[in-house]
Amino acid sequence: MPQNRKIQNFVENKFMADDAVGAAELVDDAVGNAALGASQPKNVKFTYAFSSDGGAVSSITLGTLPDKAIVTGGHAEVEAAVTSSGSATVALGLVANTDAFVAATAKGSLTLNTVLATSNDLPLKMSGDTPVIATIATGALTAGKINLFVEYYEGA
Amino acid sequence: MDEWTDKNGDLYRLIPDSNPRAYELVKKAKKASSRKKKAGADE
Repeated sequence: MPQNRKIQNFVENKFMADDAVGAAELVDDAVGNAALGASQPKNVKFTYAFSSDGGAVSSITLGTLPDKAIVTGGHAEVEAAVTSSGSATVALGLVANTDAFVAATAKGSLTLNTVLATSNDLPLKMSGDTPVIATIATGALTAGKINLFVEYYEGA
Repeated sequence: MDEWTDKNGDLYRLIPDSNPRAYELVKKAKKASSRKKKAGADE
């Protein structure tokens, strides 16, 4: 019986053995939130950076959490120290709940490599796509970069 | 969402042409009295 080696190499998923796809077959960072099952925890990273967002006293949008997301945890990492000529504070949260993750925190507590718990008001469920915001109060910032990591599940 | 009220009553409004979108505090909520009556306290 004639054989076509190219076709032989083309194997449909249903013919693949269990565990056929391992770490070696996946490109690094190939699996995103969308590919994970609804019951698997998803993770999103938001970043406040003085260099791109500025440091005015305001609430700055960092991104959006999806509708029905149930936020269960996360943390914030200070990648570059927050500085200000005044006594500035930074809070991390959501529209209409500006300190949902981190309550207003003085610049002196936002030094390089500080890691903050983001559980201030958690757990929370989003009703509608919800902007995530950093709120700068009391005084403008002159430097700083904070990464906010949020863990959530897809709610019903 | 151009205007919203925070959970503590503060009113925020979108700053026109801000990029990224940023909101300014336009009206701060009045602070509640700090003298709270203790539950079960004697009158």
